Amino acid sequence: MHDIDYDEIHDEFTVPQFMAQAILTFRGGANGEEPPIRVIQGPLTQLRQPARVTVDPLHNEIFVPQESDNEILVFPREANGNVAPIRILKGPPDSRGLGPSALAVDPVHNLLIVATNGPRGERTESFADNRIRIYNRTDHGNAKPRGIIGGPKSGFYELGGPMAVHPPKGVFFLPVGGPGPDTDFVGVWSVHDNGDVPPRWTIGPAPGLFRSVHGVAVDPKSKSVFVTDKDLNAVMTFSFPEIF
Amino acid sequence: MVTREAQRDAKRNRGFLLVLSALGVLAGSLLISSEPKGRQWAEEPKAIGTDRLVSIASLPETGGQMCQWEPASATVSLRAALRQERLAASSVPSAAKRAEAAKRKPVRMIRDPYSSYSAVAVDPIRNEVVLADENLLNVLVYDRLENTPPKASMSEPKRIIGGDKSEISFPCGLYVDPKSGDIYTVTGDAYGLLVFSNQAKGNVPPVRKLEAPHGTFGIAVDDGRGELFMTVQHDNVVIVFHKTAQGKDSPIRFLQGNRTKLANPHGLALDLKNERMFVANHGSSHLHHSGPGPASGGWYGLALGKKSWPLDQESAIRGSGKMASSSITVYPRDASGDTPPLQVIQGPKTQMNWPAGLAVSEERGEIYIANDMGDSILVFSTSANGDVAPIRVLKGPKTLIKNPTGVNLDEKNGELWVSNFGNHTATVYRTTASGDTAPLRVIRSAPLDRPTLGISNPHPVAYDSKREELLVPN
Repeated sequence: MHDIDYDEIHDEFTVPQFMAQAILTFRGGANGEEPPIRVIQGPLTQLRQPARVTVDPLHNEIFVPQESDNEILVFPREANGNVAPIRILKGPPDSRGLGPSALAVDPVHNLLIVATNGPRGERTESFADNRIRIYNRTDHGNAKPRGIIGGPKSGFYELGGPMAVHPPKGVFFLPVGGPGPDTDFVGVWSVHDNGDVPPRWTIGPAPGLFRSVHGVAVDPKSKSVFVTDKDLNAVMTFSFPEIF
Repeated sequence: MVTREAQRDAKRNRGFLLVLSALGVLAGSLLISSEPKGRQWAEEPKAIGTDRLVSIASLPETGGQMCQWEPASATVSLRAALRQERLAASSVPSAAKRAEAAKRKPVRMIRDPYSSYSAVAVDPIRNEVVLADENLLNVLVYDRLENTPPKASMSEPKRIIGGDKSEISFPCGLYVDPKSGDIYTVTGDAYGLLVFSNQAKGNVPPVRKLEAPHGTFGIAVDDGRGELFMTVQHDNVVIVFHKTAQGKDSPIRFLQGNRTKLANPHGLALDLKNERMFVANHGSSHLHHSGPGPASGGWYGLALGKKSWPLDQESAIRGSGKMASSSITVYPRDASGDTPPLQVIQGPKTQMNWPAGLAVSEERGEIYIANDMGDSILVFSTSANGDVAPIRVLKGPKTLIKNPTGVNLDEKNGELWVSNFGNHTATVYRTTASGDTAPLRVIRSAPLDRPTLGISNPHPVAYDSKREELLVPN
């Protein structure tokens, strides 16, 4: 299972089920072998490889990036069963430009923050081309991003881990896999950044800190940043009052 | 029952959302004037975007009293908050502050410091047992008769293979070559197959590695024919290579297709006496388009340069996914293409719940299943078909079986080995054991009282603010 999003307003969490091409939503306190309260699945959904998911609880929408299909599917939050997406943000036909591997929604600034990789077949050669693309939340079709973050100063290498956003401060948190040992980090950018912008804050890179940083979540109340490290099989909590 | 604290939290949360909403409104009014005219796509840093009104109508019912969290002077405090955001957005912290933050250590870490065994392979010739550790990402070799005393903290392995040079990443399947003692390790999240010499120790590279589709799990080998079989979870495949294959060698054949009933396949075992292949399926699947894969070479271009290669997610048919109950599917040993199973063991009587590792006794005509979520070992006749009950079930507190993901038979010594991912143990039983039977021996990697976290390959994390809990899928 490659993603999870907790919806504080409705007390639910949502996960993508890659193998069965489904999006599953559970009640917040689900435990044990409890069935989901809603399942998005079926031919109308257009789901092919749902590996990530983001819920916008304010506007009641679910966003599902499909990296190889170069698109982001948007469903009503309460969709259940064989339901078509209400809109699709899709990159150009040559598959360059979107390739969304992860995303986050800022419902306050009405923005969609998308981590984008090159085409799969070239992915290992194209880390330098990886970018964060920022769209209007309601963009659809082959829309032009409002902003593109990336380049040597940004320090991107491998993107794709689940991101987090903190709308009150207009910042997002991005796990960045580095090219070698002790080069992974979590970067913090403003949702208003554009161009080859270095992160405003980073956690790491530092010797012995991360091996393979993957996901990030935040708790503004305790001013904490949670980071998963795949190769350490660990979840770390960092105190970061400066950001919150 | 909703506690007062929970009610208070709920109020705070509603208040927080109202604040977010109001921030959006104010942001729209205050920042609109700063909207750049004619956006540029230059690489230079530049503030972008305008803040917009957030849908107030979409906020949930506030239910009862309005929360008093936001003071009457909200406008002032919100303006201050917004100003703070604008400052944050426009200013960059000093280099010294950023450098200090970058070096910050975690205040807490959730991590299991002990090995968790995911797969097991016995080497009765050298009297060793090999265990895959999916927590610390090692392969461990113990004496076959190792038995951790109850008062001991743990057993020390004879050899540990692991580290960056080894490339071991989430080892989930093992095979020991009876002749050479070479250790074949299936990595669920890396290269596919790594082969280490019998005497490998420490952070050493494999003597051979073989590229396989992403998401391999189970392994079985037909030594007589020199064929190596692996399951591929993501693409519902059994892929077969020459046993000596390496690098980017092409497979000899593969079993994949909409008629195979392969559904998130895990364990794999061969019955060479009866020419059968057994596969354990978790139950989720999707269909693929027939014909050649995408010109891009599919996932990471793995198919490029290969004579043949299974279809991957890029050939999956949209919206064709389904979730079914777990099963064991049985095929001719040399099945390939879209071959339907000869037998399907599936249904509520089987007690299967995420069957993982498999072993077959040709002598006894039995299949042994590590029944992960059922905390049990299920034994079926190799001729079983349909919704049938197991002929034996090994389960209960005395067995110490907890989330078993690997099983292996030592027919020379009449023993059944189980790797328990859920409690830091590998346990050994007589082949005929059933019911709540205590193990003959236990290899334990951690003190008895240490909990097993069950974390493996954690990608995302979510924070449940209502319960103040971290949600960690694996």
